[in-house]
Amino acid sequence: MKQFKELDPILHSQLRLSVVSILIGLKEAEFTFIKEKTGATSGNLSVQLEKLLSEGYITIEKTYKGKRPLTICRISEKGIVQFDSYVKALQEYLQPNKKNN
Amino acid sequence: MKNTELKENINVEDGFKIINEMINTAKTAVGDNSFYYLLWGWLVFAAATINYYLLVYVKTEYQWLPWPFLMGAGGIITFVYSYFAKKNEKVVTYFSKFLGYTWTAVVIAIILTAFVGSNYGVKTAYPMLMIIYGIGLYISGRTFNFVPLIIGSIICWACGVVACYVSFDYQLILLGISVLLGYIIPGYILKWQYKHETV
Repeated sequence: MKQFKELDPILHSQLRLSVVSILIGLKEAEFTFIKEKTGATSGNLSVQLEKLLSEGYITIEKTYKGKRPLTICRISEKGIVQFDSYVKALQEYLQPNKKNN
Repeated sequence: MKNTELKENINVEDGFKIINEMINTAKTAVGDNSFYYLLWGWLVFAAATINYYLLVYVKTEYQWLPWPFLMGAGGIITFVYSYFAKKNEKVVTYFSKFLGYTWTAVVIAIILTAFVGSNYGVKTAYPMLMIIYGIGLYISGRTFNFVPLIIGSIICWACGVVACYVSFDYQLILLGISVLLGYIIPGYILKWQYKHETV
């Protein structure tokens, strides 16, 4: 019987997966952009970003735009690798007989 | 994913749905770039038309005057507009960075070609300018898979080749045609498309 890969618990959460999916195609994105696109509350998003940061999936730069504080998020190398593995694992669940490269 | 309930645990189908939705969301983060195509398209079109009028009808030796004025104005407007656009930018895409470098190279090539033209005669430079315009359009069109820009680039290249065989007054007409079909019309299509996609 085929053993399924365990899905990465860090990514297997709606908001964290949304954040990483947004960042995977971008060089960087502001906190407000991610908040707007995910529809999350600031508090919840901050908690999940901290979680992704502590696991090394993203990097966060806190700076200023004029006088306004600005949080810029970027996906890390580890985040890219983990996202890729997560997508492959999902594919295995959906098509268990298909071999992934 | 506009919802207020964000689940901690999701199933496999949800996972794919979220990934697709968010990647598409990020794709549409590319802003409306039609401003630059329209600004430069109209400025070059106006400069070529005025230059043609001064050359053919007024027959003045200062027929080149529209160029420094209109191109200088374009440079200032572009600088100010891009400064404020950058300030309001919430996201940086790899595409926007790549295209920024591409158009910087195109602008440098245009300035250098104009410099070469000032030494070897403008008739030598104009076909090259149209060919360089086409390069920027082609890369942008391919990057965004936007067919009007790709067609525009081919028209610019064709006008550039034809321009090698005609007199300077006809080169100006060809330049006007190349920016009309390569910049202005695709610029309006891009603007229309962006407006309808983001509604």
